[in-house]
This record gives sequence, structure tokens and C-alpha cells, in this order.
Amino acid sequence: MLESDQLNASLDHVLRGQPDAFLAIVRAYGPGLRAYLASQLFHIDEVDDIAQETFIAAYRSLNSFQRGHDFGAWLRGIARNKLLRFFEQTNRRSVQLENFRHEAASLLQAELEDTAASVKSEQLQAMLSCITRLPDRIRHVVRSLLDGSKAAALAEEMRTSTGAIYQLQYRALGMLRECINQELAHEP
Amino acid sequence: MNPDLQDALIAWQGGELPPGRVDTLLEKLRGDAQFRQALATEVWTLSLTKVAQAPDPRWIALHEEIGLVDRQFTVVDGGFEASLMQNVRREPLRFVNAWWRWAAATAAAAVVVLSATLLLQHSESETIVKETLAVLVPDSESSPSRALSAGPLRLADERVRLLFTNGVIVDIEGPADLNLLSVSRVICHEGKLRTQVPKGAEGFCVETPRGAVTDLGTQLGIAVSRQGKTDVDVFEGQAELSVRIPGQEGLRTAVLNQDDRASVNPGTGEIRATDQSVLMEATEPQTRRLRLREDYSQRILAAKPAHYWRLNREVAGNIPNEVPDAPALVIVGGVRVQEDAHGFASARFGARQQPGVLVSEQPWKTPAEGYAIEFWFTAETLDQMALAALTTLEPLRPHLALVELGGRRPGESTAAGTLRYLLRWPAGHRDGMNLFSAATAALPYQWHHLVAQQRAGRMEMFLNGKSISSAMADDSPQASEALLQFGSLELRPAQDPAKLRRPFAGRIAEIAVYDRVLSAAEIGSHAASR
Repeated sequence: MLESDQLNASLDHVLRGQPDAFLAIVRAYGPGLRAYLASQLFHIDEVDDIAQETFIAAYRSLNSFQRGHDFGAWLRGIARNKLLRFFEQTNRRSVQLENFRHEAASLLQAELEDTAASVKSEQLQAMLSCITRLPDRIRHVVRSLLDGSKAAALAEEMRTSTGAIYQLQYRALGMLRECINQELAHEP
Repeated sequence: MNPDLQDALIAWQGGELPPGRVDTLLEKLRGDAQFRQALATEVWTLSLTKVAQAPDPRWIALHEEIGLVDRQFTVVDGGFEASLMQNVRREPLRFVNAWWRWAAATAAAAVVVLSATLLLQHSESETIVKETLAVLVPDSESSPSRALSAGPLRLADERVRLLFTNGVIVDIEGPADLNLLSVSRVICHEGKLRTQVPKGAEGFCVETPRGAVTDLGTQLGIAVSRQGKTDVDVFEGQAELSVRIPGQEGLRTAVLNQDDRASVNPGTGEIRATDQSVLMEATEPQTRRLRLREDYSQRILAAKPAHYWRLNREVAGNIPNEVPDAPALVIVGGVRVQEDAHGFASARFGARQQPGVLVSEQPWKTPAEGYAIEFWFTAETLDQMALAALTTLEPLRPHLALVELGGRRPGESTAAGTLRYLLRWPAGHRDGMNLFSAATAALPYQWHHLVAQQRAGRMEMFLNGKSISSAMADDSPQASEALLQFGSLELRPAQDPAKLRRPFAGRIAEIAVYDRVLSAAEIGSHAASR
């Protein structure tokens, strides 16, 4: 994320007719926005589509952003509207399993927003490094990016049960959080 | 372990749960704030794993929206015309006559059509905007090199070198007032310039008040006074001088050959031979000082490298290995261990004029469990140059890994200062998994600490102690016999050093190679040892 003066400088450049400066904003806020969207969508291509739409909408209404406010929160506000429309258009509510995700996402809105607001760009870098340090078996589960069908297939591949796969993943998430905290604590 | 939390995570991912369980979990979510927070934490970690492992997105629609893709196709190289027109509009009329604005715009339009045609014939990845035109290298150590895009450049009493991305070098002596329009066009309102234009970049044009000097592949000096008087001195090669006759549409031109000197009077449009020399010595920028801590070598040795070549001494044509009984690096071609202006000894690579490479005396068995290559480097050009290569022993030396500088990242057009780490398994001459730094991440005439490492196909690149990129290769490299080479793409058996490909220009120091990956803390500590 950008410091306030950096953000203001980039916004000034864009509003004075240097649209390239918007790319700096995209680079700074893109990872956090993608992570936020990934918390509510299964597929990374859907995440990227909506992230792109969000940035386009933000670019078009840049004048309405109030300086001094949290730019990331403003983006996530736009993204939430895009998500709602996306869920409506794709009729996600008719799918029972996604119904849980959709309803839970709605219940977790405040908590996810708080977490997204406090995320640091270093966390993503640390995450990459931490994934490589996971034990092979657990890393394999994390790399497989589970959804309902993949978990079953992975269980078959690893000759274990679907429940065991989810347990490994659950353990992995805890290990990753611990590792990220340690990584960030050791940042020189 | 919290079974509710785990089940909620399973449901979140679309996994199956017993009948009624989903409703129970939703009920708990509604009423239990702690549970909501715990699930939000899990969900967020999960989403970070997803995004961290996903490739960078290519947002063409966004680029179109903000006008970048459109400019690539309809305008020009790097948004040249747009920036040209913006800059020309900003020009004070007292300096640049309107005729020149239209001439410049017409020239730009011609380039537009040509570029658009060429671009449309090429792949989309070649059509991204060139954001950086040049890198400014100060003559003193007071400030670091910096990337320049189109726009004004004003200098006080100082000397700088501009390294343009097309290979043109312009030394400038202040006070100077310029406007960078593109890699091939600069407006000079005031200042002393010395241009060096390599083959392929002929036509580099310096607009002066009411005129222009077009470098036809030469070295020449141009001095523009505050009043607009322009003197040109051709040191080598040929240049075309042109000036508009006041009150007319006519344009007077003159071709100047080596040792010709001419003076232009913008008030009358006259071009006169003169004895006035615009001799300006080429600026030779100094690399900023690298002062490593005295215990740096002990720190590296404590990390137990498989190889450690300090590159600060040469013994009988070889660089000795600080690891007992480990092989030396053999010097091939134009590599010399030399002290820089600050007395720091390192290996200097002579680039295209004197290509050279360092190659391990004996093969290295790359461990299956991963490795790390660590070194310091400073470049002297923006060319595409190989820093480190790992090849097999086969005669054509297919690559297992490559670290290079100045290569274009697909989808980006600025290659200056871009680092690339490539991994291939099995070894080959094409394809593979690439990591790239941001453009201008490693600017010339500054020392940078670099680590490229992989474990089980997980690639990581660290620059100056910070992780800048990582990815998972398609296949995990297995243990193999490899040759380590530094400063060129590869050295084949009996190869003429003059024909080395992508030769490095600059200095490399303190190469360490490990049979393991380094931790982020170790890398940070090594990089901070200056």
C-alpha cells in the first residue's frame, strides 16, 4: 500500500492527465484487493476479473475518492458491489454449498474488512517463502488449492481420506500464520 | 483443533458435511463473534495462499481503459506522441518555434504509423508502453542513478550521463534545460551535450531553438546557450544540422563530417563554419561505493557455502575458491580483477568491447534438495546481459538456470534494470519458468545484492535482502552435473570469447553458491552487511 503522500501524488498525476500513474496505484493495492476477493470467490480467474472491474470503476470515479480516507477500503467498497452483482448474475445462491459461503461471507463482512485493512504487502511475500518451508505432504495439499471436488481427488492421490486432507490443510494454515509472523518479525 | 472451525472451512470450500451441519455452523456464525473472527482468520490465510501462488494478472481491459493499450496501437512507442504533444504544448514559445512543434508532431505521426504497423504485426506482449526512456547516472556519489520517463530535465552546475534504453549515451554538463520526448528525441533549450549513438540507434535527434541536430551514428558535441545560439562539433562520424529560416517555410540543412564545427544563429537561420570547439570530455560515471563489513567473508563461510569466490584476487588466470579443495573460477576473455575508484577489488567484465566469462574449473553437482546462488553486482549499461548461468556439460550447454539483467518481461516494454531468473528442467535452450523483478529494480552504477534460489522447484529471487519474486516451476530439478558460469549466457567448448552471447558489462563480487536455500533472515543479514 502507498503512504498517504505517495497516494496523493499518484492521484494528482492521474487527475492531471497522466493515466500511467494509476498503474502505480494498481501495483500497490492489487495484491490486497485480490486477497480480499479470493476470500469470497473460489476461482482465481473470477478474482482477477472482478479485481480488474473494480480498478476500472475506481479509475472512472477517482474524483469521488475523498483524500485522507483509506483508499484500500474505498476499493473494497467498490469490490463488494461488484461481488454482489456477480453473485446475482451467476445465480450462486441456488447452489447449496456456495450458499454457505455466500451467507458466511455476509456474516464475516466486518471481520474480513478488518483483516483486509490491516494486511501488509510483506505478508504475501512472506506467505510464498513460508509455503516452500512446509513439509512436503502438507505443502502438496496447500498447493492443490482445494475445492470440494479437488479434495476428494487429492485424497485418492495421496491414499487417504478427504477428512484427512482437510485436516492437513487446517494444520497448514496455522503453520503458515505462525511462519509469516516470524518472517515479518525478522525483516531486516 | 476446533472441529466447528474446521468444518466451517470445509463448507467454505464447498466440501461435503453431514446433513444439518451447515445450518448449525451458520447459526453459530450468527451468534458467536469469536467464532466469526476465527473463521475470518482462516479464510484470510486461505485466500493469501491462493493469491500468493497465482500468476500475476494481465489486465488488458484496465490498460485499455486508462488509454495505454490504445496508445500502443494508435500512437507510438512509449506514448511518445502523447508525451511529445504534451511536452511541446508546455514549451515556452520563446525557445521552440511553433514550426518545430509541427515538424516534431509530423515526425512523430510518421513514427506512429510505422510503429503501429509494426506493432500490429507482432504479438500483444510487445505492445506495452515504454515507461522508462533513460537512466540518469550522476557524476558524483551524492545521489543514486534514477530512471527517467518523458518530461523536463533541468540540471544545475553538474555533469550527468543519460543511458537511453536504445543504447544512446548522452553526457550533459549543466546548467542545462532539456525535455526528453523519446529514446530518439530530446529538446535542448540550454546546456552542453555529448552524444554517443551506437549502430541501430542512428537518427537520434536533439532539437535546438529553431533547429535540430540529427546524429547519424557518431559522437558529437552540442552547446546551446541561453540565448539560443547553437554550436555543433562532430568528434566522429557524421551529423545533419538543420535550421529554419525566419519568416519562411524553408529549412536550411548541412551535413557535418568528422572534425567539422558549425554555429547556428537562430535569429537569422545562418549556419557558419566555426573554430568554436564544443569539446566536452565523455563523463565516466563512478559506481557508488560498496563497503562490505570486515567480517563479511566470515559470515559467508559460516553459512557453509559449497563455493565461495570473493573475486578480489586472481591467481594464475584463476579466481581461487575460498572453500578448501573446491574448484577455482577460470577467467576467459575480458574479465579482470580490478579495484574500483574506491579501492574495492572485484571482477570487471568488459561487455561487447571485451567479452569475458568466469567458468567453474570443475562441474558442480547440483543437489536435488535445492541450491542458492548469491552475489553482488553493478552494471554499466542497460543491455541485456547474463549474470549467472547454470548449464549442463553437453556441448551446446543447455541451461538449467539463468540469472540475467535487462531482459524484457513479457507484457512490459521497459527492460532497463529488470532482473530475470529462469529455471529449466530438463535442461534446454527454450521455455522454462521465469521470475522477473519490476523494471528499473536494479539500476546501473549501483551495487546490488542478489540471491536466486530454488528448492523442489520453488523459485525465489531476493534483491538487496528483500524477496522480489517467487513461483513454483512446473517440474522439480533433479541432481545433475552442472557448470557454473558468470558474465555470459554460456561458454561452449573452444568458443571464441569474442563471440560470447549477452556479455556482462560491470562488476561482480563475492559469489557464494550453497547446497541449500538460504532463509530470508540469512539473506537479509548478508545484504545488510554494507
